Amino acid sequence: MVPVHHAESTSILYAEQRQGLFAVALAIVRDPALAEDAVHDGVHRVLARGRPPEGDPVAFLYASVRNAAIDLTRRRRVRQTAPLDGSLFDDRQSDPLLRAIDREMSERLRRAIEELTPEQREVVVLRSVARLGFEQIAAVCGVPLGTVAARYHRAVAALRSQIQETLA
Amino acid sequence: MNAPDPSPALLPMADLEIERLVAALPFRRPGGGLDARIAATAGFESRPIVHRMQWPAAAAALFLLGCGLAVGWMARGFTPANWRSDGVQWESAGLRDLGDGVLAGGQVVRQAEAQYLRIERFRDRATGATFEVRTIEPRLIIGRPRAD
Repeated sequence: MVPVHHAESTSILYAEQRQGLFAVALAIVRDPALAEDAVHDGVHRVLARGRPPEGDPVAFLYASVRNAAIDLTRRRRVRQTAPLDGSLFDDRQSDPLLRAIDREMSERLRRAIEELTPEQREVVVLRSVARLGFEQIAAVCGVPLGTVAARYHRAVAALRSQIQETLA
Repeated sequence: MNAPDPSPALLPMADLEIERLVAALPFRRPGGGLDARIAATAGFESRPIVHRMQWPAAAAALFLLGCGLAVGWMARGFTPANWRSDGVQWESAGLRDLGDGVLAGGQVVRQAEAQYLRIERFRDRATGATFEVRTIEPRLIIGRPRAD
């Protein structure tokens, strides 16, 4: 039996982190519907565990969703489904009042993020969208802290070069 | 609930600015249906365990069911439905003289009690086994009036 307080605390944690969880799942599965499935599966795994994790609950929840997304990606590869629109961004949310230079910078930044390696893109999303610390990201990805820092700084360097081209 | 970044001051300002720009991008958002799915799952997982038979209880229930079926199979020859009556046989078991009696009208009669033995035999259709039930049943006999 899952204690009620565990279910409640997990639900609250999900409500706080839903955008970040979805972005991380989408960065892996590249399909909005599958990303929602991955978030659901990840939260379900935390709930079915029946008790809170020993460590950081936020990192644990992100790790669970990430693992669910990786599992779904493997299954999709087996099924050989057609590629879908897996962009991380929603054009409908773009602010029409943005200045032209801001809009161009935004476009370049989006393209640059899409062109990052999957590992770098994952770290950028966990850092900028989910607002996780490097130690939490290391726990989520299951890699050493130094690896996370290296991936992040390489990713930021790539993004910076794109922005500087815009400003030049 | 996020833990603060352990070393934000060590990041170059440009990195933090890029972080801010990335965070401001229009990332896709999950649909409202996901929230409903999560809420339903949380409610489902927090229900009392009595509604969720877990594998030890399920295994115990299956074991008990198997035991019940085995006992029933072994006892099938002893179930009442298999025993059928082969018929009833009557035999005389003697006569007991009760002496004179007086009827309601004052008439004097001779009375006796006949003993009858009732034998009913039962047979098991499956095994051919038999048993019989013997009972003594008395009958009152009223004779003719005495000649004297």
